[in-house]
Parts: sequence; C-alpha cells; structure tokens
Amino acid sequence: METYLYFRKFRPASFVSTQGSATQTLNTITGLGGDDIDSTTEIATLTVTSVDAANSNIGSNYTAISGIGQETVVATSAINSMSNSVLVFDNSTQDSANGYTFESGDVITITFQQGLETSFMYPASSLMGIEATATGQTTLRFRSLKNNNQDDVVVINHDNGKYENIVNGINAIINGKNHGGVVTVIDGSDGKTVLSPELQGLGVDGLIYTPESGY
Amino acid sequence: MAENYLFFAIDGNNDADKDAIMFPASGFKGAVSTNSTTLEFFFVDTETIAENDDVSCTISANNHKTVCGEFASLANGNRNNTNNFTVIRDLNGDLPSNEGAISAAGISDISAMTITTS
Repeated sequence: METYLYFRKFRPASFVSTQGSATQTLNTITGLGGDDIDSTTEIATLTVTSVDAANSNIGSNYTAISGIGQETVVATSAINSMSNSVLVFDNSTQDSANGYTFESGDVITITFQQGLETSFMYPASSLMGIEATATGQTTLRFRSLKNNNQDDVVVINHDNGKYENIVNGINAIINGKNHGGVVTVIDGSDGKTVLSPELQGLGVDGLIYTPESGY
Repeated sequence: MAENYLFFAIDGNNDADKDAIMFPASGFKGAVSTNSTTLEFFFVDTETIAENDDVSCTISANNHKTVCGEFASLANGNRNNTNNFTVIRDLNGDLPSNEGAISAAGISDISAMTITTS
C-alpha cells in the first residue's frame, strides 16, 4: 500500500490591514510560515470598515457610506494585484463599479481560503530526498507533478538542529504501520498548525512549496 | 499485490477523446490545489515519457483535504478477488441501461472534471 503525504501551507484565518495613509496598497500579509501569497485565488473576502462617516469615492455597486464603522464587502474582482503577500485594490477611478478608494485609517479585513498551490499531496514513492538546506530548514524533493525534468520542492522551517529529527519523522510517517493512506504531514491553515505526531516538538513553523512550474 | 486501476469519466457518452481515462495507481504523481474549488491529480503520461497527464476536478470550496483522503482510500483499496477496477469519479449519467454503472460512482464531492493528456 502506498502512503500519501498531504501538506497545507501556513495561512492565518484572516488578516487585518489598517491603512496608515490614503493608499490602495494594503499592509504586507504576515503569518504565512515563510511563504508568500502571489495569487488572488487565496482571497475569499475583503471587508472594508470605514474610518469616516462618508466616502463618495466608492464603486457604484456598493451602498453609500453613511457612518463611521460601516462595513462594505468589496468585490475580489477589483483586486488590482497580489504579489509577495501585498494586495493592491482598485480605486473608484480604476473600477467605477467595484473599486473602493481607501482613506487613511480604513480597516480592511482579508479572509483566506484554499487557493493556488496552497495544498498538495504526493505519494511517498515520489520522495527523492531530504536535505538540510539552512539552519532550521529542511528541504524535501519530490518527483514533479508535471514531469518537466525538475523537482518539486517542499521546504520545512523548524527549530535549529532538528534536521535529523525531521528526517526520522518523515521516515516514521512513511514506514509506520498505521499509515497506508493519506497522512497530514503539516497543515498550517486557518491559523492553526496541525502536525503529524512524528513531527511534533520540533518547532515546525513554516512550509514553502515550490513546484517546478506554475499550475 | 495486484495493481489498482483508477477510472475517471466526465458526464457524456464516454466515446470521445478525454471523455474518460484510467491510470494505474502506481502512476499517480500527486495532487495540488489550483483554486478554492479545484484539485488537480497528476499521473504518468499514458502515451510517452512526456509531460504528465492530469485530471482537474471541481470540488466543494476548501474541501481539498477530504477529497485527497478519499482518493487515497480508493487508490489503496485492497481488492483481492476483484478486477481492481476503481472508480475515482464517474459523472456519466447516460450509460446504456443494460450496463448500469461501472461500479460505484466514486468521490461524490467531485462535480466536474477536465482530463488533460499530453
């Protein structure tokens, strides 16, 4: 029987950006376990809490702002860009229907969902090797999903000096008698970290996934 | 131990290119989420040693982990004394009446599929 190794990236359940100035660029999203967000597919909702009692520079699809603290769920289609965990949103000039011009002090709450390359599963037989790539960092290499002559790379961040423990843990997962199906190796979603018992106590706090090419 | 063969079929007559496909379980290379409602399964290319084949499945939002678990259970199913034919998902509702379903309908959360071969 094959053992399948399942991973899910570290993601907070939500992130709050309080605009320090009147800019469309949100604060850098944190709590991602060493990885970043480059795809809007991970964004479930965006809610703006108005700092002001009025803001006429919002898209026509939204209810007019009439009070401090009014919440507006804005359309994710008006996300201008998403790169290196920084989200930029269209203002009302760029998108007259769904744009929203932020004011200094507006609070934008992002809720996350599963998106591009946030979760992945490999058969254990595709594991090609495990190497210590930095202090407190271990890299797993798998045969690629697409077979483009490169490896798919999974980086685990953990406490210093725990490489051997990580290797032993992965070995135990793959060869454990209790496993013959899918094993959740690391699941960092929703702000909660779930680890396979074999990896607990090693300070695992990061997961970076780099497939050979974008999917 | 006998090999499990994993069957996928879209909703159609299963008589055209990429209507249905079957892979040996040993050809499974892995799966990855591509957005909140899609999960893509990759298999060793059925024709040559080219880019791997894949089946992109539409699932319920954020349900990738559950579907991966069900896939693993089916792919690992011990099917001694059977033909080891395992339906991962059969969306075909237009099978001839005298044939019936090939077997089980598979993972119920998969509501649509796109089969891509190299």
